[in-house]
Amino acid sequence: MKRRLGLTDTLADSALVDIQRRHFLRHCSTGLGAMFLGTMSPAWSSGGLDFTRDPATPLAPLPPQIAPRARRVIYVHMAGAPSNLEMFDYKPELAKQDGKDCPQSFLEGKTFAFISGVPKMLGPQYPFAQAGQCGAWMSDRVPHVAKHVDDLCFVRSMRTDQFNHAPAQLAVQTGNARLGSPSIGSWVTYGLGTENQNLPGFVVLKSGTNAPDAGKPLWGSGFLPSVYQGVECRSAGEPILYLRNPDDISRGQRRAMLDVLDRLNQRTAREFGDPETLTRIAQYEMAFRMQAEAAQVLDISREPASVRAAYGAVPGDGSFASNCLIARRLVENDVRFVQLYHWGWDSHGAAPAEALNLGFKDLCRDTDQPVAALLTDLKQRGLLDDTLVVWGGEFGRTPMRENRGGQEMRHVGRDHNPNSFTIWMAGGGVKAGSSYGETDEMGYEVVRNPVEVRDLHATMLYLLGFDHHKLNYRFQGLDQKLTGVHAAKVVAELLA
Amino acid sequence: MTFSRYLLVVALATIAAIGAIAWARPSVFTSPVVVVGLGRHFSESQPGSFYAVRVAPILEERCVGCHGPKLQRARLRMDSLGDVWLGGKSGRVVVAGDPRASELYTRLLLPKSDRRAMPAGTKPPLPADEIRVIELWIASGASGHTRVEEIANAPPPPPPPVTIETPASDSVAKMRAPLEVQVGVLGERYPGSIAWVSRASGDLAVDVKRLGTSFGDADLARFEPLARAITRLDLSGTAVTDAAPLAMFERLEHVRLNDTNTGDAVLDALATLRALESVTLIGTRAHTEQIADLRRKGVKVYDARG
Repeated sequence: MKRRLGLTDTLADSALVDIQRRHFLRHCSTGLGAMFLGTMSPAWSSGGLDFTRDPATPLAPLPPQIAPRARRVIYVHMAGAPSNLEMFDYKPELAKQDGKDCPQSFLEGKTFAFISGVPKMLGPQYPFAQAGQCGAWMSDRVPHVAKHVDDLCFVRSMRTDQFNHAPAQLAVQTGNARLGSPSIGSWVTYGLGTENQNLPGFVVLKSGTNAPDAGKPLWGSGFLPSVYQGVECRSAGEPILYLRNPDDISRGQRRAMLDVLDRLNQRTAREFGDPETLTRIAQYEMAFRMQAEAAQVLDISREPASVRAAYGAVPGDGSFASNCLIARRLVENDVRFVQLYHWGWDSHGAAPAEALNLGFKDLCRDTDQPVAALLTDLKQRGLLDDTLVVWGGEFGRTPMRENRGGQEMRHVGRDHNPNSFTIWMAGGGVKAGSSYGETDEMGYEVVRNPVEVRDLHATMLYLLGFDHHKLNYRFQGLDQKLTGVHAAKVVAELLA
Repeated sequence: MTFSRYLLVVALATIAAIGAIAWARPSVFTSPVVVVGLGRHFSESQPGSFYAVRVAPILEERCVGCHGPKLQRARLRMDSLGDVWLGGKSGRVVVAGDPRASELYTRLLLPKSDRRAMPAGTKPPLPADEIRVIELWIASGASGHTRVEEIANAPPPPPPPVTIETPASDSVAKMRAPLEVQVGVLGERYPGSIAWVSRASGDLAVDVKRLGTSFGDADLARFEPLARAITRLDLSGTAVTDAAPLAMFERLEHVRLNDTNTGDAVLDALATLRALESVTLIGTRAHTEQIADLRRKGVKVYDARG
């Protein structure tokens, strides 16, 4: 005999019938969301710092671990790898060897992108002179930066383990030659957030004829939440793509639309408990606030003509000069990390644009004055004390002349050299007017105080107030960090 | 053959052998190996000696992995001075006073392609400074007694590694406790304007520039309870005037006043602050003489005029 069911029993039964696999997964996603949050909690990590925030304000500022020497960063990446032998690393001995056969010891066990057979040595292509109080040797290609040598901290002994552009750029910018790791800017905005919620914490500006070889992953957030990726801005045309309202949509209409979208998203967030939904709401709101402020900050026509002239910036030209001026306006408005790229330094000598005696000159001319003007401007505005400026490429170039296919080439160029390269830093707690490390007489390999890319990263994070071991994020069961698994050290000699 | 003649032959042979060695390798007679034979404690290095301070850390970092307690490649250990003196399978590695005859030194100079180059395998060669330290030590007699200051021209020692020590969270909490209530109250009133300088700090950074002209002197006066904890202050673009109560921020290190209606009086107030390191006052009425006065006190003043 069939038992008569009570109302509660019926409801319970129907609930069981109604809960299908899809519902289970959906509700379980509350659990998954909770599990995700669980992985973010400090209890899971081994001694790292706690970076948890309200998902609605993922870019809220957090204090660093210790008092910082730098509060923001402008990283000037010269994509394509500029030749330090024509800029900062003076090698008179190399000049004497010009045109002679390269010693066999330079070739044994080495891998080159193009050099084959026995190449000739290639002396410095431009004259050098000492500059400033510190007496650093600078080539005549960088006359404006030469006026700032007493503010600069040179590292002449950088090394990398990558000899092709894209992986070497990834190594310098993300700490990992393979795709999928967060860029320095992402780590820094993850760790520190940003004080100005009306602008992105991490802005990217590109110039030069091409994008950097490794493309967008250079400023990607990797395994960090996507809100920490770099936001690409443009100094020509629309400053930020898709930010402006369409012509017939008013700001009020946009607000009303966002309010409806917000309610829908809030409902989804309650139902699924996925923090990425809340992050998305936060990003819509930031974009709305940015509509008002970003356009103003990115508009360099608001600068006095004298300032624009100092940089050589022309509104709307998309040049490196304009980007340098925008960079100053951004850090002045508390953007945490500004990443500049200028492409074109791959001076192999295979074409005029990539010849040391031709295209290289133009690149120096286009970048020397703007970056010097940036240093002057930051200094005069009291921003250089706590803004770290980093200038560098992804590797160096060989003291041998490139001989693609074993032939003498039409133009003068050098091949890739991962064994040594020069970078410089300024401001933000680095030792001004100093030089660290040394290459051999030919400028080929490091002979004193090598600095690995991970050491540079550890030092940058230290200047920003972090022990690089403690700025980490749990992913794939590991406490991931910018400096990776090899031992990295803060280079004490670079600190002011 | 009588016993006495036998003794004579042995004695002569011994003298000849010693003579030959003395001719070929005079350093043997000053060699600490003899000392090692006499007593191990002679081979201990003295604290503060060049060996203990400069050489041992290099050996520890570069050599002991393969020549130490775990592995004894070529039957050589380098984790104590006595072991270094004893040498390994192929004999001594240190000839006191003669780096060129000491394998501990010469093998460091070999090109990486040489099978005998040290450190072996893929390990990086020693930096020039470290090789120089080992050379100087051997040249000075390879002793454990020579003091650091006795060896001239030694390359400067590397700086100690940078370590980051963060205070225990309870000591930070204790430091912050008297301020927390006011930080909460003012943080609510002026959202996003107050931050701890670091996770380990009881100092505060106050940045109200985003509040713009809605923030004036009376608002600043409300920060009085926190004044002695504030080390950074950004008032740019606010409505603060010459009457702004800046003298109460006794520990202020950095202040920014860009685009404010301030001038002489504010600079007078700032001149009383002893911890002040930098002032930024672009677009204010500050006079050049007063700026010069502040600069004479060692304060960095930025007015965008260089």
